[in-house]
Amino acid sequence: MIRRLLRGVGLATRGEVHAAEAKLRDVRARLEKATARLAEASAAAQRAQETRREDARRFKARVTELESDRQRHADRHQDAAARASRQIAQLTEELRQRDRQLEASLRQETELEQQVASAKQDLETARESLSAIEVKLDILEGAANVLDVRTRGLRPSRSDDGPG
Amino acid sequence: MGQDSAPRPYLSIVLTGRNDGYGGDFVKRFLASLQFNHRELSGRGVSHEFVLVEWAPVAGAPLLADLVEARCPPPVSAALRTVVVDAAYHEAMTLNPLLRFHEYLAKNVGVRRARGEYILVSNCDVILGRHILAQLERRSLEPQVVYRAPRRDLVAALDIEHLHWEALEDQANLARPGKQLRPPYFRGSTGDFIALDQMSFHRLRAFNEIYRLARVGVDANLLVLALSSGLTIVDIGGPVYHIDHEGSFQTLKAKYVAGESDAQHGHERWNFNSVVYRNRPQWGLSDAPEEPRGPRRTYLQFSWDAVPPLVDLSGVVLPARREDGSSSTSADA
Repeated sequence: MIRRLLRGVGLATRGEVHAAEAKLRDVRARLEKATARLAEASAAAQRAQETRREDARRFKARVTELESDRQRHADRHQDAAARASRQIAQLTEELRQRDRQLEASLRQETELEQQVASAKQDLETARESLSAIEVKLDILEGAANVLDVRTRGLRPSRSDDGPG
Repeated sequence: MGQDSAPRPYLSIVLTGRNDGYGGDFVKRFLASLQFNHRELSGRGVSHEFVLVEWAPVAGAPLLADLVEARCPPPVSAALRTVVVDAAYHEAMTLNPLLRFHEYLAKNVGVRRARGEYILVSNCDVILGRHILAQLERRSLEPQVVYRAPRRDLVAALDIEHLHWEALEDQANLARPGKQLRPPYFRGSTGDFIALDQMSFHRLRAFNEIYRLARVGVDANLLVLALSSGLTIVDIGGPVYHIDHEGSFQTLKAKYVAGESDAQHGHERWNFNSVVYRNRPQWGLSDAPEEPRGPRRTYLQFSWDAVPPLVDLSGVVLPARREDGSSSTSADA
């Protein structure tokens, strides 16, 4: 009844005050804990955000770096392709030049071969002519020998030369 | 020459020789070969004649023709015709005083007068092998083909008077390994076997009568001419046989190796492989006056009209094929 009366005038008992104070302390303690946890969570979130930001930054930097690399590679490849194209053109020109030189060499070789064949034929002809000449010389020599023998046979002996 | 009216034989075998004791008992070896070949040819029905040219007979010695005819059985004598050539032809024609016997000038005399469809130029002591006889029996020789045969030299100890196939074909009787004939010329003991149809032989004008300095190489020279004239040269496929004797080219070659110019066979190294010839149309002493001396013997009397010029350099020619690269021939000209 008293409690009811007190409540009616807005007062509380000591027990109630103590209980309320204890509850308050408890709430405060929980609040502090929650605040601390919130602060921790905020800090963690902050850290996570920082980490994400940092990751994002690193990612971006990496992407930039890769993009740069890619660009560098692309540039390098483009340069290489340009150089290769120039080299190909140069080589093609060299090849054409060599083809022309080769054709000229082949023509020269063919001409030389023809000259060699002609020289060989001339040599063979000369050899054959020489063979024929040798045979003719043999015949002439033989005839000379035979005529010599015959002439000696015709020569009068000393007793036929005259009186005496 | 006698026997012009007789039927034309399938084969004329042209042989040369004289009674000079060449290689020992020449007459004995000749008779043995002659009888053997005659018997084998007759046995196979091959109509044939032997044309023996007795070149420059030895003065004072009996004629080889007399010796052979006297000792030959009548059937063999009947197949034998002889042409005796006055020794003055040798003296008038030779260009080498050391040469005692112009074998190929003599053979040309025989070729010129041979009547057979085919002419085989051989030597007096050469025996025809079985394969050759079979070819002749089949009459399988073809015109414009020069037939060659390898020679098998048999040991001198063989009993030549009693020849039989077993002895001839016995490898143990070979004096030396037989040589294989090789294209294009199929050379090697060429003078022992050259067979060709009469027309082609005449077209070639037979053996070289321009280069009268050697016996060696004249036979091979004919092969060079034949090939360059478009004829074919083949190995007939079987051998002839020859019995070793003293004085053969094989034995003399060794004897004269140091002094070739003194060799009885004349120069050995003349250019018979690269130079050919064009004989006069009167080759083979065709203009020599012929004096019949019996039914089967003719004597060629000496006449300067029949003697070719001592020097005929226009007759020395290059093989036509080599000259212009074509297959036309100087002999066709």
